[in-house]
Amino acid sequence: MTTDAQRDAPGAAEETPQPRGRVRYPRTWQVTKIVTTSMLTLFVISLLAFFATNLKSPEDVARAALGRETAEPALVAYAEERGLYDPFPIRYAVWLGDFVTGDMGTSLTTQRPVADDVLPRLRNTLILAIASLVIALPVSIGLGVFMARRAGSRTDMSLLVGTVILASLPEFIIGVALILVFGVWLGWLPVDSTGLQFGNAMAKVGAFILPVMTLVLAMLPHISRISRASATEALGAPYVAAAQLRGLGSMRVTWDHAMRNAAPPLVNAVALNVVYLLGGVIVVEQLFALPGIGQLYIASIGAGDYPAVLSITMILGIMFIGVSVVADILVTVFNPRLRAG
Amino acid sequence: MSGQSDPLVVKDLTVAYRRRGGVDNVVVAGVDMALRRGEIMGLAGESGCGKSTTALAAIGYRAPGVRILTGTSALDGTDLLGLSARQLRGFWGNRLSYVAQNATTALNPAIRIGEQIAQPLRLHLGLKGDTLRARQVELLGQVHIPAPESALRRYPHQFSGGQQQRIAIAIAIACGPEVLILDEPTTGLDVTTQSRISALLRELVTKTGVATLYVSHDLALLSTVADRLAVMYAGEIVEQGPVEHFLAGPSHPYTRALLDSVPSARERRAVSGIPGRPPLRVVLDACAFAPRCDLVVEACTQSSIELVAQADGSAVRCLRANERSQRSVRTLEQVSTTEGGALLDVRAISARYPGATAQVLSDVTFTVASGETLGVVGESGSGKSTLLRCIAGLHPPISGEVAFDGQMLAAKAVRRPREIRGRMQIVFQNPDTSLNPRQSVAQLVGRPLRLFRDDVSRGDEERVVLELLDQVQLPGDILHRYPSELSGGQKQRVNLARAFAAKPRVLLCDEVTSALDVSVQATVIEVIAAIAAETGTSVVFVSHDLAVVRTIAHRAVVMKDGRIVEQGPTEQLFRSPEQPYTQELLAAIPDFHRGTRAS
Repeated sequence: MTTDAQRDAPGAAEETPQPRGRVRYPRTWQVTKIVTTSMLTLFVISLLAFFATNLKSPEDVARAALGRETAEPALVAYAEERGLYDPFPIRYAVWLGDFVTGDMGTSLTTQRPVADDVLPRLRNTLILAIASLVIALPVSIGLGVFMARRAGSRTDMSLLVGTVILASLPEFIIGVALILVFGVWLGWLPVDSTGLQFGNAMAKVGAFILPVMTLVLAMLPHISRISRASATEALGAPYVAAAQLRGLGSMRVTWDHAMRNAAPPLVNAVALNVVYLLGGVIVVEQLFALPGIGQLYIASIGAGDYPAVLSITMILGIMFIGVSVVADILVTVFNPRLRAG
Repeated sequence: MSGQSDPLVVKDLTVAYRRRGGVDNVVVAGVDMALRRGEIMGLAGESGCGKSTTALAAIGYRAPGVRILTGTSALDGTDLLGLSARQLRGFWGNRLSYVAQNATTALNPAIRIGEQIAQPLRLHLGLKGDTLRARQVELLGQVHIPAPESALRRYPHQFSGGQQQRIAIAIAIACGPEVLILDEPTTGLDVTTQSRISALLRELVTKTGVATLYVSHDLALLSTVADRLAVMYAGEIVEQGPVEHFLAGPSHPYTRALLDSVPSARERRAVSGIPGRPPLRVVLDACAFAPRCDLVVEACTQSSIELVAQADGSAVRCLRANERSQRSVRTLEQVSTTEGGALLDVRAISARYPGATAQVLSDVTFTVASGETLGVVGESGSGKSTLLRCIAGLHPPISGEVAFDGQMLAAKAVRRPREIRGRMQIVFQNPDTSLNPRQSVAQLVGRPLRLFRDDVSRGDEERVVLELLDQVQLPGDILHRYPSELSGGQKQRVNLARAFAAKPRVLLCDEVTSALDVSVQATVIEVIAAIAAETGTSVVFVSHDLAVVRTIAHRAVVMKDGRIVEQGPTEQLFRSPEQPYTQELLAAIPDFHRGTRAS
């Protein structure tokens, strides 16, 4: 019957399907695309931030720096000296050039370079954020998978209710509760961060424990519920049953087969949570009087210190964008279908 | 029936789904079977009859919520059902292997093929290094995957559906199992691919002597690949025996009804659906098929029926086995379709997917006469669904045009006049996603009445909806139900009622029966044919199933790679196909009455 000898060969007629309806790009091109779009986003953020912090008239800026009683000529001289009368695009270009070379301008309140105030505090903030993330990620993913593996059971249900309750508490409630329990009643840990400036190494670590715990507890319900959802879905997939029926152990099936597929949605969700975490950092720093950029941010906004506000806005923006770039790239790593083969 | 030496002997297997706070739902009861070395045992039945549950329980696998109530399943004397999960893991993938229905979902999408093959080899045989690699390559070669070395580094999505299933089979036979369970291994694949996979399985079974259980809803396919067959209904085996017994004419009324509902590509004949629905659990004190059986007598409903051995080595669970009912299968007479001009005129349509350069359709031209049913067949990717979408105005073609009743149509449906949209209705493949889950049947079917039928007043609406439901053989009491409360076949008939509500002159059907069981498919085909004949509606019926097309279509079009390969009156096309591709397609179809083994 068959005329075409080639067609008769098994497999020959079942060639690898040609991709239809979409074009495949090599991986490097994908990464380039992700990075380029995020640079564009960052550019727009910088434009908006610069615009928002430069709405005041040059004289008002000078008055904020020199004091309310300063005479008009002195204000004009100050503004002229700093190029505040220049057109917006030029001022923006000058600022951008300074910012990327590490010059964040001079604080209007302390008259010191903004970088001197921001960088030490940035270190504290990063320690707080990274420590919270390093603890929260494995704990909440582990909890989520634990729940998914017994989905529908009593343990799962009570944990679900528990995480809903925890999720509905804002950071400052969690923080105050922790201060009351560990700081006031038990007296084990300091209630604020004075130890950070004046204490020894132990006191410095101690100062971070409650803020980190607060952030971990704030992130835990979200990440664990998302992990539970994606793990439940992956564990119900036919390839999981197929892996079990090849004799693989249940840990191997869960972590190697199921979680590898549950990872992409999880990575995206975690990235969103990190963004949320950065917001939480501001609250927590304020609550524990921890000298980080969040605390400085609030103080600078209150004082109208626009170079500081602009710099911190940009740093937070870079952190947001950086996290989502890492997440996007991780997703292409976990999902081979997004990769070229 | 079974010797002690059979690799897998299942006795009195009863399985239930656990229900929270209620009585367990028994879905498989008292199944006995033996798998013999080097033989394929076919297990047939419609969806929900318990065949997959039986197959999985036989190797000791309990899906969540599944409980094995009684029975033994002995692998060389070891009762698998008494083993712990840890002990079973030593057997699975090693001495007992399982191939799931859909390799696209059963292969892990995130793990390279090589690693997925390596896992059981490392785990059970402790292979590593060069020996492991050699075995991986050898296995892919055995299932005829081209360039096995480089295939190992690829991911599942980089293979076609047929190749993915070959790979899944390679993983299953990796450790040289004694027992192989195949759960619908070729369902969803194209006919030519299906016949190649069947041939491969037959070859492997002969070569390795593995005792195989082949689960499928497709009796015709099983009759070409299996040595023995068992038919399940409502969790019980109702008939079993050598394949020759079934070819000579099955004894159980259910088996016969099932065969009558299967369309044939060999001859043109009407199909008849089985009225009613199968029970969802085992019926213990009567014959489960009695409510749907036309041979039913009082004794059928008074006690449970035993599986009785017959003279030819088969066994049947029926009091009136071998008695034939009066219902006969009609042969459809050939309708002449030359009367009237072309109602639908498709001229040189070419189309591509957005963003892609390859064409899905090239220069497709055909006409559909008034009252004619045109079948469009082709394998997946042949462009047949896109063609339908172009006609419906859902996918604008890059060139070519569609004329309806002599009037040129705009490429997009939204630009077409309201009357034209009403005159042309489409029904989609998947009934689960094509009905709005938030609307009741009355709302769903009533909607086109308001849109397109000025002759139906608001007050008449319910009456007309009820008439339409009656036409598609649905009871009026489903009027206020929602899609989630309906079965797949009922949903598809609601879709048909909705399409016919607009009084179309052309009905476009896109694989409307491929998501349905055969007995349900038969009912849907009957409904379409009856209403089309009664109302003089033209039908464009797209399907991958040649047998369905032969049953329903007056004329047929064969498509491949976006082009029409051959077209003509159905009978002529099926009796004496001219093109090699059509001949190949026809040759690949398993047919129950042919009875030739694909070995």
